[in-house]
Amino acid sequence: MPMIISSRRAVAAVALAFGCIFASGALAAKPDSDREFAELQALASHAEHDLTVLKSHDAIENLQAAYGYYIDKGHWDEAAALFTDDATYEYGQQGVYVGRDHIRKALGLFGPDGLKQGQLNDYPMLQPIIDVAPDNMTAKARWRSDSFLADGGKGEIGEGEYENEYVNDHGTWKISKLHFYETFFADYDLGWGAGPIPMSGPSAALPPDRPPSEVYQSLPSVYTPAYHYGNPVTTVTPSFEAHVSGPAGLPADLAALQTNANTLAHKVELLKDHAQIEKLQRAYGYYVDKAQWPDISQLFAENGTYEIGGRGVFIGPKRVLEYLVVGLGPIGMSTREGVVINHQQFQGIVDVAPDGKTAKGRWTAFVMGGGPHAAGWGDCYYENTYIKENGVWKARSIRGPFNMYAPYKGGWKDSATPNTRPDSFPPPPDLPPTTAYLTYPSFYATPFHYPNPVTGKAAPPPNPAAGGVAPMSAYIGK
Amino acid sequence: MLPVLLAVAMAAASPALAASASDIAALKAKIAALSAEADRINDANDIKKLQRAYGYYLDKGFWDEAADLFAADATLEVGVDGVYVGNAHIRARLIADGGGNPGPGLPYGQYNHHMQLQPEVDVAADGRTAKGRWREIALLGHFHQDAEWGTGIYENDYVKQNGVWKIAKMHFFPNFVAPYEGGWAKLTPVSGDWKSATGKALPADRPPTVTYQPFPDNFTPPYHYKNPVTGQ
Repeated sequence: MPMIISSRRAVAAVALAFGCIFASGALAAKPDSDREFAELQALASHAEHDLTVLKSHDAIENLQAAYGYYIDKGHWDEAAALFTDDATYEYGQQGVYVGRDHIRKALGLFGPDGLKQGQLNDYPMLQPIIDVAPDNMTAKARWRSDSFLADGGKGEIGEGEYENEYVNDHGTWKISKLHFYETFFADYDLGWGAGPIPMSGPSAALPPDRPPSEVYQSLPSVYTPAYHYGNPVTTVTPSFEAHVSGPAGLPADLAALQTNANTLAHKVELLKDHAQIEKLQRAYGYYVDKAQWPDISQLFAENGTYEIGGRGVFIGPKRVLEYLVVGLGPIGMSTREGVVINHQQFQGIVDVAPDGKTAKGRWTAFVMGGGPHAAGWGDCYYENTYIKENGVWKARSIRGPFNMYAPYKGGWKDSATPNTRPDSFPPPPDLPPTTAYLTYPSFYATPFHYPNPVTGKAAPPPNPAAGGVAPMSAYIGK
Repeated sequence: MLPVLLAVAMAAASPALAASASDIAALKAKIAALSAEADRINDANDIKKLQRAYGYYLDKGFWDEAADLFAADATLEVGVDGVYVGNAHIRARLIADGGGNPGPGLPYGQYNHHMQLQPEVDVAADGRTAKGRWREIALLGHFHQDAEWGTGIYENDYVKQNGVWKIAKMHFFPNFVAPYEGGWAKLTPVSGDWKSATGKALPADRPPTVTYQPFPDNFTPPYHYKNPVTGQ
């Protein structure tokens, strides 16, 4: 009776029903081969499970991106169709709407179908941390939106975070809970330093089904929506790559199968590594937002290094923590009234080494910062390295060269903040800056860790004739 | 998934299963199918890298590097400027957009930050082509002269040639370039031919495939995908 592997349930049924019958003859003939075959089956099933979860991760990334693109343009029917029948929807302090039909109406509070002339409703879906449950039936994700709004000639700028839930409905992922937590909205001309707008409460015209599930206030108050995930270094379950090494002298067909199975397992492991490193870096950004310095220091490997702007290099988690607490401010400083340090991690390019032990990543951090009445923009890159220690990915080096820092008022036209230096504030670093450079309006391009993805060649150095470095006096004090 | 794992655990634990030639063939086929699934996820990662790398090259004036991401016969369409065909013309357009400096690099005082965000990437089942929707948020300007916000949507096609993903078709739908002072809310509707200065100075090879009005009008660049839930 041949085994049909393609139907796994059939395998189980056959194993249960006929196991004892087969036990005597077949096993005695080829015990090593049988054990090997069973291990390869198990390995393939693990890979299948991991791939199912990875595919769900990507499907949810697309689902939420699609939601954002619909919201941009006032396509409420399309957006509402992404929810389950009994989903919940909660925006700021407007209360909870239950069920797809009511959600559809609640989305209409943004404006008419297709929006009005002159209405801008951009809610980009950014910095996702997506966690699919092991049974592949539910998932949770954190996202953020930098909102660019306009109506009737008045502009607003805002930012907020989502903690959403999803369900797998017979192979189609849907949103079962969407919860947008408003960090701030501000009059565009004033910015968040001077003009945060209080959150609106429940709509009188379309009352929600339930009051807000959490009561909080936006800027100048500060609120941290609970993370659905633990610290990606201290709470992660170590992953060890599955690998089958069978006995010598296997039949050729089984030996070939073993090679294929191991190749598959390694491929899948690299995909999981990629996703875990993205999570690590994005979690880092959310921690900076709220000055959760101990969580940040825990992301580093034992001798991990940290270098931000021109401040020099700090080595090891203890010195990282000292830099953050002494240099930037006390733990939780950004939860003080009126303080924003949105340190948003976008556009990650993560390259895992073929052996799966180290990785590199380039990111762009889009910064909305400042205390009361001192708002500003920032743009810095990250060029980081990561290392897998005992099955857990950690930061080996986080290096954030600055591109541009400028005040909100006037933006990057009128003035720019020069790069920091080791002596610009305590504590002193362990090593001097790895590179001396000037930020915007001067030109500096931190080297790319990857060759050109198409040509495979490293980018040439910048042409000095193209730019050049101006003396600091060109922009200090302006 | 749990019942499946349980079943396999049982199968593995049971010493009763003799692997026949057809068992082995079936497992081999399963591993091959799973391997292809892994490759498709990896393709999506490669395509995201490609588009993000494009943004990083624009940021810093690496026009040649950016142009090299396109296939030889690729097209680049921008707003209502029209369609630029082929690698060389695309390169010229990118340089012109950046102010004419051949680079790599930017002159003192130029800011050219183009963030590539919110990917919606779909790889064809055969792994040879893919489509992606992206959002760009740009911070642009020249120190002590001008500062602007820019935003728009990309709907791009990608092609895998000799194992390497390239941009086959880039279609950028700018929604606005607004002065920092006053921002996007003060923009007024465009009238007539709103070709960009670059588009006028460096004419495209073909007319635009889509004409539209940017913000404050509300135009939706067509989606390459169906609604992910309804499939319509």
